[in-house]
Amino acid sequence: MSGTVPVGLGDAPPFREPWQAKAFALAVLLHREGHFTWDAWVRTLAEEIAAFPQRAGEDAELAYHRQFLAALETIVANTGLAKPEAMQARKMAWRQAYLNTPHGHAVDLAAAGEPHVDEARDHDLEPQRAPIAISPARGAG
Amino acid sequence: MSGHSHTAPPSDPELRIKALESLLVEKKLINPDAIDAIIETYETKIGPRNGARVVARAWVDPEYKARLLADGTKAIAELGFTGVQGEDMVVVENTDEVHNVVVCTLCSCYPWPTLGLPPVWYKAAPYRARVVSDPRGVLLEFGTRLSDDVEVRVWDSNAELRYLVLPQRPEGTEGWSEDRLAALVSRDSMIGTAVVPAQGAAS
Repeated sequence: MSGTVPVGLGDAPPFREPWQAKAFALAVLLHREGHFTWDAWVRTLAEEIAAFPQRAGEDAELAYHRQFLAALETIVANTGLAKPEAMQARKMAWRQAYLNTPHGHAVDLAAAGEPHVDEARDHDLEPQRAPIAISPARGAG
Repeated sequence: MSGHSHTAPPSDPELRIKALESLLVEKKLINPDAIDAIIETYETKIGPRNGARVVARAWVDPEYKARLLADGTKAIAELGFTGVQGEDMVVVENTDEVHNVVVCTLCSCYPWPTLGLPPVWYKAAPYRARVVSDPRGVLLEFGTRLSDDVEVRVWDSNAELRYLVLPQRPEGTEGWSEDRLAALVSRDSMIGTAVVPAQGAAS
């Protein structure tokens, strides 16, 4: 691997976005609570880094945090703390909770279950240039 | 009702972290208050000032230095610096003949209690690979030019142990207090990508 060492990024704060700090804290906490050894964590992280290196259009910092988050999800799944399907379902629930929450209000996971009254209306406002559904012809007679 | 009455969902990684956090808290695997405490600690309390105090102590106290080189973990704990990624510390000393530099070739193993969290370049693939294949070239990129008669040793930190470089005490600091010395010691000098420059007009 060649490339220049990003020396200029030496004094950047450790986390650019709050989720990166959270991922870090979750890894430290789960280790501290005895859910996995540090050795197991380092192996998981190293495997993720080796398998999914920095991509084009991604800087070293973004790449690292992407790898870190994926490794965290992997070790959580491998140690049986949460299933991958549960993480995926919960992620979609959070997404729905955001969509269901009026702008300016705190987003609560409970909102995921509520129907979003405005959603249908929002859709209606979009000009539809294609049929929304088609029932194929069955043939005459 | 009018206007947009929803909240735009955040980025994918943010949603994934929210999912993880809420699942783990729900299962009582973690305490949500502890998350913020850890972030605050590593963002504001733990950093290379800790390592600088270790180095300054070693510069003024030969007995401490001997203990530090013999058992880094124990000697560093004497100053109160312990915790995750600080359990097994090895301190390597720079001399006129040997310059040490530290890397984690596989990921980002780094002595948190003494240096805080690693800089971006330490975790980046070019540093992890090239400091092994071309240490002198990489040091030059940091503005650190070593004499050809100095041997460069590259140490690979890992899950079992992490290295800390004890830089050479610079010229022009005779009689300086420990605090004044500590202020000279940079993070990079303890990783080994820099040296502590000589002080005063004599340099």
